[in-house]
Amino acid sequence: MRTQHAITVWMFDRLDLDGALAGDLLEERARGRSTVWYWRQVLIAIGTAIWSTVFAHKLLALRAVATGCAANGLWLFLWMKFLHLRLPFSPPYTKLVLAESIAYLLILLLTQTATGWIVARTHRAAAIPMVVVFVSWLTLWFFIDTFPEAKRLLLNSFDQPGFRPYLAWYLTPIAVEIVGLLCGGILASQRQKGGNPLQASSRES
Amino acid sequence: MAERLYLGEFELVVMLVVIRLGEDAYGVPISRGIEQQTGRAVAFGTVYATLERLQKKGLVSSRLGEATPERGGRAKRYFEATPTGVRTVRETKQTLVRLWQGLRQLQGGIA
Repeated sequence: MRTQHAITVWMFDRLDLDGALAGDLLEERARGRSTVWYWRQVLIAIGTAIWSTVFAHKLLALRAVATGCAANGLWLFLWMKFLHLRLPFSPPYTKLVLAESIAYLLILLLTQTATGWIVARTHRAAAIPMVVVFVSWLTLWFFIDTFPEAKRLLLNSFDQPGFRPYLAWYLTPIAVEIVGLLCGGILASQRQKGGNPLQASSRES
Repeated sequence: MAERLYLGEFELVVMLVVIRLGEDAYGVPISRGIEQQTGRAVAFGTVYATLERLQKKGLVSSRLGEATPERGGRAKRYFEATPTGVRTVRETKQTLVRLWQGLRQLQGGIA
């Protein structure tokens, strides 16, 4: 239970959620609430906090998307100019292709970590919610851009297990990008003792 | 003339429970109070988000209380309705009563 609480406090601190909420949840957990109930409450609290912040600061959210796109545009330019790595359409089948794929994914992870870091550092007042906005936008863009392929793989994977490795391989780059962005955001977000400047004025009265 | 503040349905429920609890109004009893009074389960995160919104409107104030081991060393945050909050709840009730009056469909206990 203590580990769960420590993880919750860590996440709440990153999102500048009220520590009293983490205490309330632990108090209820100690009174017999289930683990599922506890994590459901944590996820709802995080989702609500992110949504409230984004809803209250729509222009900041747009700026976060623009910043992320600019950073990724720069990486894409450098990639095209200096690197000639490509990710194969199917899972790697030779050692050379595997090595190239690993290099591709590692560079992707590093560049997206840098993008997440930049988005978070340029939106310090609400770092993680703004990174989540960019992650959502990027994920949406990825699936819209490749919708026919995504639909084909998903539908075929239901009844034909042979398609599942291809679906997993198709989802690998976006998964790496999401992990990289969130890592960058977490690295950049510092715990602010005085609380989130966007929320601090309302909390104490 | 002071700007009129409006309460949403859930905001009104939270305000009423906070007023009812008095000095004991912190996250756990507020959430339990809402569940008991309305019969619907509520998420603590939603209650806190609503309380924060009410605090921004100046309808409730908060103070940190004691931290206990069963709370992992985290302090309780006690909420209290401000005079503006109590007045707003009263005005909301008056508005609802005015809207209710004269509606034949809602008389006699059958909607």
